[in-house]
Amino acid sequence: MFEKKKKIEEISSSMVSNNASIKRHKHMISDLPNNVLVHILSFLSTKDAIKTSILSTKWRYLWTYLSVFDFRFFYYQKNRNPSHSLLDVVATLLEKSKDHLIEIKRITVRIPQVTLNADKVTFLVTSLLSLKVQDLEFSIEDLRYLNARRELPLGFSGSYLLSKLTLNLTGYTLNISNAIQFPSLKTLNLKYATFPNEESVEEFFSGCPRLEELTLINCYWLHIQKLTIAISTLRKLTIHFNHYCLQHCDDFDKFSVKIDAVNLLSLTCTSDPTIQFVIVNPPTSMLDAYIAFSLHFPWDDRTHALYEEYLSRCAVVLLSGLASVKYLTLSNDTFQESPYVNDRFHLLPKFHNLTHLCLDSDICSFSRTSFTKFLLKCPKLEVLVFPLGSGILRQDDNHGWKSIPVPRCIKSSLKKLHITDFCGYSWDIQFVEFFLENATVLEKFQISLSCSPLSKYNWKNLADLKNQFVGMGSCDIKFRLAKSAIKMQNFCKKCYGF
Amino acid sequence: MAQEASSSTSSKTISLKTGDGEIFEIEASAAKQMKTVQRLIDDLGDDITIPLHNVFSKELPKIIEYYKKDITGEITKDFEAEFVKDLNDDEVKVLFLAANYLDANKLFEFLSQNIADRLESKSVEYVRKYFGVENDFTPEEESKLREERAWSFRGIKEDE
Repeated sequence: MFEKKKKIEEISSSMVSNNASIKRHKHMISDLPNNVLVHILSFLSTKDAIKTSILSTKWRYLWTYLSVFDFRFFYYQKNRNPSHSLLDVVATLLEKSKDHLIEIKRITVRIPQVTLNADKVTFLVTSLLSLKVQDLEFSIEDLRYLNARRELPLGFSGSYLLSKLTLNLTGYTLNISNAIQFPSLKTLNLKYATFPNEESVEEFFSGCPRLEELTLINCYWLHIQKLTIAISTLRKLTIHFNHYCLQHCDDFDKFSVKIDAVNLLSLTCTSDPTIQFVIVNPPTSMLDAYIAFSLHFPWDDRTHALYEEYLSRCAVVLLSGLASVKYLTLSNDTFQESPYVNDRFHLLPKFHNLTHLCLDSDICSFSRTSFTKFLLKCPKLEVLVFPLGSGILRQDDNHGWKSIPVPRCIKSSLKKLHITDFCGYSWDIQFVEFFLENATVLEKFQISLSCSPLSKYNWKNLADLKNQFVGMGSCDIKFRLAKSAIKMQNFCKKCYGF
Repeated sequence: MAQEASSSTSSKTISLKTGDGEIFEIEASAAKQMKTVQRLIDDLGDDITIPLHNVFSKELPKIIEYYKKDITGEITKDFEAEFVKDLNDDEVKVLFLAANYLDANKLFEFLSQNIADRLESKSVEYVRKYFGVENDFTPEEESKLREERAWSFRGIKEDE
């Protein structure tokens, strides 16, 4: 007891002497240790944090110790020279950060309007990449110079810390010279980046030995016939081509993309116009794939037919490399067909793991015959979404269709079915009845009604229809009115969870 | 004499004595959230009145109010907004310094954010006064810096 009292006295007297000094300064925040002050700064916007540099000499460089920088604000004020101010701030940051051991978590730079010449942009990008930063986004959003093709020679060897890099270099060609090393880079997002030749592509990817996520949107491939993406660590690939990507390609028709990524889990592949993708070393346990190829409509039927033939070939070749996938969405024209094109579904492999299939398209023009043949390749399918629509092929194939055996998945594994764009035509009803008769384990059946003026249903006969359908199967049937503006993509994303 | 082993049930209260001599009670589980207090409890035992020389009777009740809500898991954005609504900038500063002294993390983070929000677009002079910073730039240094960073001094509200 006595010892305790003594202890209290000791502790409280030491506290008093510490506190006395604080009392003398009248509880000044500015006298708190630097790390506490930097912590306070971390709650301020980057702009306000940099502003504190003017408070006093003690505060002048405190902001350089922050770990997150968002430099977007430079362009949202009435700043006469936003780019120069940005350069000044980045130069200061670079100079000061050499002294401390702080690792920056994230830097974001988005420039909506370019007022810098190529040298200054190079300086900016190189400086930012030289900082000890984990996640860097540098984006130029000024599309005016999209085709200006100014060169950015990065005299820069690499960043050992960088884990995520987003570069949108609209109009600036990143000359990947020598071997730029990004040993920790896991995520790479490139938009409007230009690769001058095939070697530059290979060199670049070989400098990223740990890359797991890659996004290539509207990049330019100059003088490249075959684009090879060979990354064994890759898990997720998103690739988008538009018209301009191959403007400078020598032979557009022979262009192809080779994907060699045996550990790939997720693929998003959109291309307008369609390009040939080939998957070598097919991944053995893919999770999901989203493919959206687009047709172009040349003016005469003959070229149209050739093009459709080409698209169909591209689709089958790509799909052949995705045989292990679980969730598959085919969008736009990927699954389209016309009377001119023989279906190629017998060329497809079996999709042994496929449980969710979504055909996401505004127009349906595939025949029931080829659709059923496709379903034959999906023995374990549980969830199916597809449009009925007012396609041209409706009447084609009554005979052909009936002669195909009922796909096993419909009989034994299909649990959820969502048919969209139901118009009420007799063949629509026929198709619905086909499922009701054969889908013995079906639990949920949703029919979304078409908004097309050609539709034949009205509220009265819908009620009759519903009764007719309900009598046929033991599943839960729902009719839904489709919102006219709804994009089917949203449908599909929802329908995986239904 | 052996002390009774504290069974740390939630009904146990701790007595805190402020720098100006007033005594307040808090739940033991709330005291756990204030690391300085907990350290003192560990050293001195939990049946002694804990002296807090640097926290005063003006701010301690507010802090206790915050942690009362925290231990029942009821801290919401609405509660936090209400908590600071009628406080002026200086009152928030006093609470902030107390939270720092008490090593009360959650309250400290919340008040840091609130101070940052309050200082947004305030003038340099106001912020200097608020933080207690003495300007030690030479006039030349300061005007040069102001020129370089002119872009950051737009959109400043009038000081209250």
